[in-house]
Amino acid sequence: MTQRWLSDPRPDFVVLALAGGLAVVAGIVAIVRELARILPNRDVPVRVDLDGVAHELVLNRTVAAEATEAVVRVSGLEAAPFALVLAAAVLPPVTTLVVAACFALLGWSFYRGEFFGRGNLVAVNVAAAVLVAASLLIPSLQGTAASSALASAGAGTGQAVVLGLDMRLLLAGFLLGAVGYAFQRGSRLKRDTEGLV
Amino acid sequence: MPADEDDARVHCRLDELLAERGMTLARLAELVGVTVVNLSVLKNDRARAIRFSTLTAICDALGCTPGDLLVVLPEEAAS
Repeated sequence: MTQRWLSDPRPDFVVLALAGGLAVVAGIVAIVRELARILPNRDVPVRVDLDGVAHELVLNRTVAAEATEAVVRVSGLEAAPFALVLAAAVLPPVTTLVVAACFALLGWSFYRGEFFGRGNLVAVNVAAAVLVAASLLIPSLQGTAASSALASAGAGTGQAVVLGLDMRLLLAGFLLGAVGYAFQRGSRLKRDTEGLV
Repeated sequence: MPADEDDARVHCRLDELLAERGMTLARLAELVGVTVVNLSVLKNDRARAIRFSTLTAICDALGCTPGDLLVVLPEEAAS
């Protein structure tokens, strides 16, 4: 009985669908929270990297530490920096939401016994494309938004556009892209063997 | 004409061959080692492909050749 339960993959698919669904809800909550923090345009928190500048701290009067990033609060941002800060804050939860929705869809399809359907192929490819795009957009937008917000507050670094790349997201995207290719081949194989006796 | 559309023109004469030999589909399934469901798909011209191993086993069991089992219908007959 226990062995049969362990070898039955369907509970895993239910967990995948539920985890995906929960992550979608968490993503929506995060988006609403970010909008509520930023839309009033007052004391907007902007994360700023402190690369290249020594910022030594003393914790508990004895432990030496070094700050590598800080949260700067700015108010009354102009339209362009405000849009950048808003996009930089909302993009990570939007990425989480889209990828989680794709995983929830996959889990539900697997649970129903559909593996190589067109919907699954689209879900895997969309998740892969979103991760690859996010790997470039998230760090670039966050860096540019921070630079723009600082410039707007009169403490600019002089760098208008900051380019960045999140290697973990990029690799995850490539991995999912490979899975998508396997799904494509599986779909073709399924089509070829339909009606085979 | 695309290859997929040509599938519909291949007619399987399994029904006639079974009737000539007084053999049932269930008996043929036993002899060939293919499920009755799959043989039924073949018999009703719903199959889109057949393995050489299945074809060989059916021909052995019925004492016929692939040409006796499968025929290509003229285009007018298929439409």
